[in-house]
Amino acid sequence: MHIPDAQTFNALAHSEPDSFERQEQTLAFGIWVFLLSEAMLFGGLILAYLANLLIHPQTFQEGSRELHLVLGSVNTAVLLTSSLFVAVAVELVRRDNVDWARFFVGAALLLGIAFLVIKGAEYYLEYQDDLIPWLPSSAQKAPTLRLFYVFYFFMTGLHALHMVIGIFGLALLLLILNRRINGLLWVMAIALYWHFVDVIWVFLFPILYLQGRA
Amino acid sequence: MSSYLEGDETFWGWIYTKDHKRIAILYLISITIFFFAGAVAATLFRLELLFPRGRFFTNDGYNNLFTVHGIMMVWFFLIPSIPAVLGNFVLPLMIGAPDLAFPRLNLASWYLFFLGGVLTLAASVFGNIDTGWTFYTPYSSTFSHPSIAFALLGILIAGFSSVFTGLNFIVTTHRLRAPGMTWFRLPLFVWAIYATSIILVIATPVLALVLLLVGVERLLGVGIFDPTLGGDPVLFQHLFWFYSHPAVYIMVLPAMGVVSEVITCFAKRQIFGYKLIAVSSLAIAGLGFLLWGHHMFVSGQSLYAGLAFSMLSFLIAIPSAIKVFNWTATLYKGQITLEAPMLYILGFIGLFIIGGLTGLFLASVSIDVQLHDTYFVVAHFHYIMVGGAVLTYFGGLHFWWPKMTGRIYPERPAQISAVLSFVGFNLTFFPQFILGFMGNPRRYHLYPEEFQWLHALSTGGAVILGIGYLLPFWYLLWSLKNGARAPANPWNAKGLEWTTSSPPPEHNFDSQPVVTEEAYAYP
Repeated sequence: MHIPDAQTFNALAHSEPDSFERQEQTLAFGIWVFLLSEAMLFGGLILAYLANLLIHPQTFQEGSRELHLVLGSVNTAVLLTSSLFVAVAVELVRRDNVDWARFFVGAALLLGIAFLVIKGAEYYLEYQDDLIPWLPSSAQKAPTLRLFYVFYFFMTGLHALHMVIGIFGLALLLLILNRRINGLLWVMAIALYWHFVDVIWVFLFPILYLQGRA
Repeated sequence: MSSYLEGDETFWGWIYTKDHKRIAILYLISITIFFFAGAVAATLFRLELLFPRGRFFTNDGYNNLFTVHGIMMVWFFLIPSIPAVLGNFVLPLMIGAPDLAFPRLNLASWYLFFLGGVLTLAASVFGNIDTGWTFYTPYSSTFSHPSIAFALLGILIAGFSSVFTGLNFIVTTHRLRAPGMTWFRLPLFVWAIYATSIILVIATPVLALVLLLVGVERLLGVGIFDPTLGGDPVLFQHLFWFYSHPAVYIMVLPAMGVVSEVITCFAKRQIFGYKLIAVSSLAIAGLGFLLWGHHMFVSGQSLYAGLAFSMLSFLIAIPSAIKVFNWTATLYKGQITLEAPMLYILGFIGLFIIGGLTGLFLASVSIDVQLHDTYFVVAHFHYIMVGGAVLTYFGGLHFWWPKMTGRIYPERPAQISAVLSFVGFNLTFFPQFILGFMGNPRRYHLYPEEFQWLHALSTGGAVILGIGYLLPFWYLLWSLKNGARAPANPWNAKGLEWTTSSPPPEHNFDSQPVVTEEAYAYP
């Protein structure tokens, strides 16, 4: 193998340590490791929820039935489509079609915002139904029903927070996705993060919305 | 060729650095400050414990002291110590890389760590945190003093630092090894840090989760863990210990890595059983995730769960013991010299054996029922964390001090410190095994008269231990100006870090290292 001399090594070490491909792979590997930690964050939460579901099946099913299935399903379709658009954008970048890639990233970003708007609408409806567990209006409900809603709001809230971060990531991607080499480096990384946020929702939706409906 | 210490010597040159070596020094300074905070708390309660009926502190005041001691020592000293100081400095050098994979992320890690530490320290000093470092619910999530929220926020922020550092080390080890540095030629310290990093990445988020849930319960008055509001306090314990048990392996695995480096150098011998030691680090990391319930034998969890956790806790003794046997075998027929690093490491081996064996006592459900929440537990974990991790932190600091600073520390004071630490440590904590066995509960400052002599021995030992810790603080600083200049390889050790100057240049190596021999290729 070619072993560079001191000057070349120093130059390599400081300006362009690796080929574009190697840098991109290293960055993607880093994001995968980060997603592993995120999976543990949500995984712990999901397990805690499932444990409580096993202990309080009646009230948790009742809680699930109060959720807005239509809005939740629409949101699922919105987020899955958004993820699809991001995957298309990554492929377009591979084929050097950066302009269309930016279009699809922009579309994915808009869908992401739509998701949050619909979620906000759901939250508002739940507020009207006296289902917010820390407000006095829900004091009449059974404690374990309110516990369901604590989990529901915490899980979807934490997910929404990650959506916001992902939306910032997509916006950033739009800005840097031009012919400059740095932008292309980050496509895979940001796309992976967005897909992860989508996968989390794919877990949350059935265990929160569907489990109470036979 | 200028070293990394020269170059930009301004304050901002250090605070904005991306050089892993400078970041290691930033961590060194930070954790020393936090160590002192935890040590002040310990000094105060060791004074208090001289008297059986309580002398200087109320019950609440005493609760405050052991809480601050635990939080500062665990999260802001022990967990970062070897990985963030020694790992940051030495890992890229050991693999022949110019820096970590993500240097700016490394700096961000330090910012988050320091911010979290300052916040928690402020909460400790100006607030009233008295939940114990384990902050069990419902006390912590309902009626304990509100300053706990700031302490928990500080820990949450520092947790991100842990994850990012672990991520950085993992990616660096995979992607930045020099030509010829295959996985099984890596120094065992790298294997240890790698295994530690896996735990950092996987376990810390669960801590973040439990911190957030406790915060939500406090702020919003909902019942996740509070039984009066429909919650389950044992859920807290599961989530807390799922992180906190692997956390102890975060503290001990890097220490074991240091042992492999020092013992080969000062016995001038190839390590015995390289692959077994490397793989046992991974085994400890993996198995360590399955044991958390041994902290909960008396929590009301199912007996069958208890049995499973007990068995797995016994199993993890196996990879630990493999290491101890292999280190001992490494010494056999070696040319052993007893410089300070070696003294610290030999001390580790003895104390780790005691700590490990007493862990087996506690892993037996029937015995643990008696010993849970007594001083026996306190002695056990201090044998591993202090007798183990802290001794090797000091040993590693001495070992790599010439590399990091370009100065030789004075050997005789260092050897004296190592011996004082060892003697002081045993005098402090061995009486606590006896106390625990006789039934003295932990976290109490009131105790029966007949136990006073044991507590007095313990406090006396702590004074000696304290001197053992203070001496290095003095002579290591002294050596920065007055120590002899260090050559590249003052110990005649194997390893890539010793092929570059002491201290190294900013980019670590003047020419690309290429590895052609196995690790520890001593003749």
